[in-house]
Parts: sequence; C-alpha cells; structure tokens
Amino acid sequence: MTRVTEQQLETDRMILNFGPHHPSTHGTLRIIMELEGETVMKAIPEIGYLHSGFEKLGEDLDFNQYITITDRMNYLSPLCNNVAYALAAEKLMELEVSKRTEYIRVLMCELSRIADHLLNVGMLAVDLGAMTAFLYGFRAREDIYDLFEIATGTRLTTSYTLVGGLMRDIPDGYDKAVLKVLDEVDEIANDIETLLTKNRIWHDRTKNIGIISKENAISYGISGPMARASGIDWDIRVNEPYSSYEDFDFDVAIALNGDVFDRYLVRMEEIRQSINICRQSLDKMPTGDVSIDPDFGFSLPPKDEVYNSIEGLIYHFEVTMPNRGMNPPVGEAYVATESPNGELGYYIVSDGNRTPYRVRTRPPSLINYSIFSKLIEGHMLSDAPAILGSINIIAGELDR
Amino acid sequence: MLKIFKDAGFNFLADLTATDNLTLGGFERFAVVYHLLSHASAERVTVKAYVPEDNPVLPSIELLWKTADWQEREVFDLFGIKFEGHPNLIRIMNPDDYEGYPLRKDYPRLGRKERYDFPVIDRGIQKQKRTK
Repeated sequence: MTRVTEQQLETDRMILNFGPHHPSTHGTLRIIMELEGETVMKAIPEIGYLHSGFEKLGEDLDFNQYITITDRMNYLSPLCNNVAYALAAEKLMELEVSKRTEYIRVLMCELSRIADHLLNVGMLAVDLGAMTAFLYGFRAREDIYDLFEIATGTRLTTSYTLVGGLMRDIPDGYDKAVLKVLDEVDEIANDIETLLTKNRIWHDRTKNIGIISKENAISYGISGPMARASGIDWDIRVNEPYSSYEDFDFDVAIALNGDVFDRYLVRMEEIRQSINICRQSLDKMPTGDVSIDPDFGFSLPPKDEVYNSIEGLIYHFEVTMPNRGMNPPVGEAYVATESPNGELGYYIVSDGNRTPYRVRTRPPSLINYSIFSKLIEGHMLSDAPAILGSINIIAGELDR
Repeated sequence: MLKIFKDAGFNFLADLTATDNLTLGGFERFAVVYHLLSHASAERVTVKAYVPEDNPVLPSIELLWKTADWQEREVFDLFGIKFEGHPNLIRIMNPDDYEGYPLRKDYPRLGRKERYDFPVIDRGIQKQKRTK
C-alpha cells in the first residue's frame, strides 16, 4: 500500500496524420500534425497527391484545346478558369472581343462565384456540424449548375470560352431563367445567414480562429476573399478591371479581423454583390456576335457554318489541324483575374507555334494554403477543419 | 533588385515561376519570373532573373515575402533551380526520391516510364494463390 506521490507525468507529443482526404472531400492532401494533448504545436502540409502535370500538358495542346484542361483545375468554378485563360491568350494575341462576349463572361463568372461561395460556406458549416446550411446551399448551387447546363451543355467541365469569343451564345429566354434562380439564391442566402450569422455555436467555433493579420496576408501573398477579410482593400475587378467590369456598379466586401468568421461574412456579402452584378449584366446585355470575325485568323467559326458551308469547314480545319493552326505572335502575357478564391493568373509564353511555349497558372489555392501551418499553430485539433474550410482549397488547383 | 522594387511600393509578390529557354532563346537557359504588384498604384511589374544551365542557383527571397517559400520549392521541384538561403528546399509536388525535373524542355511529356518501375510488393497470400 504505497501512496502514489505526485510525479511529473511524461507527455510525449503525438504525431497525427490528417488526411489523406480533405474533410469536405475537396481532394487529397495530407497534414502531419504534432499534437500536445489536443493542441496543435506544429503542422506540416504535404501536397502533390493530385499533381497531374497540367502545365507540361499545356506545352503540347494548342490554345483552344487547353481550355478543357483549365476546367479541371478549380472544378468548383470552371467558368472563371476558362475566362481567365481566354483573357490571357487574347492579351497575347492582341484580340478584342465583342461587348456581348464580355458581358456574358461576367455573368458566367459571377454565377460561378455564387456557386463556389455557397458551397464553401456550406462545407465549412457541415465540417463544423451544421448540416442544414449545407443542404440549403447545395440546393441553390444545383439550380445554378442547371443554368450552366443550359448555356454550355455540361454542368462541370464547361469549356465555354474560346480564344476570341465563346463557344455559343446564350439561348433565348435565358435571362428569365437566371432571374428566377437569382431570386431563389437571394432567399437561400438569407436563410443561411439566419441560421449562422447570429448563431452562438457558430460564433464559438469561428470567431478568433485562424487570424491573419494584414502584414502576414501581404507577405504570404494571400488574395481574394481571404485578403479582404483581413482588411486589404483590393479587388482586381475594381482596381484593375478586365472584361468590362468597369461598367458594373458594386461594392467590395471587407472585414477587419481576418478570422474564420470574417471570411464567412465576406463570402456571404460577395454572394449578394454577385447577384447584383448578374442582374445588371442581364439588364445591360448588348446585342451582337459572341465570336470575333473568322476571317481574322484566330477564332473558330460558328458550328452551323462549319456544318453547312464548305468555307466554314475549310476554315475550321485551318484552325484545328496540327500542321496549320493559329499563328500567335512571339511574346508573353500575364493576366490576373479575380476568381472566387483569389487572384487567378495565367502566364503564357509563346514562341510563335500553334501550342504555347509555357503556360503557368497562378493558383490561388496553393498560395493561400501556404499560410495554413502558421494559422493552425496553437489552435485545437477541432479547429483544423474550420481553418481548412475557410481557406477553400481545391486540390485540383493546388497540385495541378 | 527585388528589394528595390519592394521599397518602391511593389508590396505584393503575385507570382513566382520559371521558364526553360532551351528552344526559345534568351540570355541563359532558365529564367525565373517574378510578377510584382503594387496595391497602392495598381501597377504590375515583371522581373526576370536569368540562370545558367551549369550552375542553376539564385538567392532566395523568402525573407522578403513568405509566399516565396512554397513557390520557390515548386520551381526547384519542376525546374531544378536551387535557391540559396531557402529554409526548407525540398520537392513539393513530386515524391522526394523522384529523379529529373518535369517542366524542363528536355524532359519527355510522357515521362521516363517511371510508372513501370514501381516496386512490386509480394505478400504471402498472393504467393499461396499463385502456387495453387
């Protein structure tokens, strides 16, 4: 019968493998965490599980073919990727697209921004145990995907843009369908905010978690809603307008604390602003052609010309055949666009051949994710899904 | 050089990448490309640093911008350009024992048949099945 004296308990740090799945199954990633109790002392993210050599592939596919690859990068908002790549290629070739093309591109970008943000907020909620908000968001996203299907023919791998235009025009009566969905989305955004914004549990789980200061955000290259949640007044749509964004009147959502809750608020506000932009673009939609004149030598002719006239068919082959193809000028172009995750840039170098010499994607997911190991330090393990969810990692874009 | 730009207001390193100038031509074999952005004046600057083939080494800018940490690792992984002073220069996309630098122009697009060289793990159960 000896009395147990107080002795110092020896505690080893535990190594935990987080993954290889993102908690909201956005692909594969792995985090090696060093835990002391439930507190994360150190985290080493390991990426590259989905590395598929998209940039190498870009050197082998011609300018229009590569648009299908851009779908597969950020598969939650493929239209933004299509538009960003097309803009970079057009800047390289010094093409000017029609006003109608630009407006349709804006409409599509904003619709996919709504879908992306709805899914992101929903996934963040479902990771923290709130199933309802996720189901609401997913339902609205489904309606938006139906709109994509009407316009592009597919839900996910849209490949809607061409260099110098769009694959096809939007059908008649599309504006009515969009407006109906926008009204629904507006209501659903209200519902989600009612569920979450003043919810005590939601506040406990998200406030003061994963704070990014303004200096850190700049140093780590954070962009998009994450940077705006840290108080950086920077939106490429406003500060360096592309694709006629200067014609639209909207506000930039900014929050000051830079925690998970603020990122959620910024995303919800951006959904509302995007609804606003969509309505404006439908109101002001100009008439005209959606692809530039085929005689110009770059863009593909419309499909009914290809099928119904010999000139159209010849011209189609002139552009697509491996020994013909486009003749872009020698040079390089970098275009940055505001994707739902942040600054999505394409850097294209051309040596004058039909395939680009080098295609580089500036992936917002990868660069936003690099701050993760700093954010999680000192937080509990259960905060990891909250921080991961608020960064909005898309593994296809992370690894490329 | 980049520090001068940073002091001049280009506070944001938007992108860091590289190109292989094997057939394009240039001063040297590789060029590391920095895209800088100024939040105050909304201007962008592209800075290129040419790196020779026989000694592909550049000083790291991880101390200026933390974002260069992962992006320099990516350039090292895919192009084989080393960055002096980088705290943790290991491969980021490919496995650590990977040989070669995939985005170099002399690397074949279909790979060097790495997928055929995976070690075959032979477990006891499979052996029993085979012998039957």
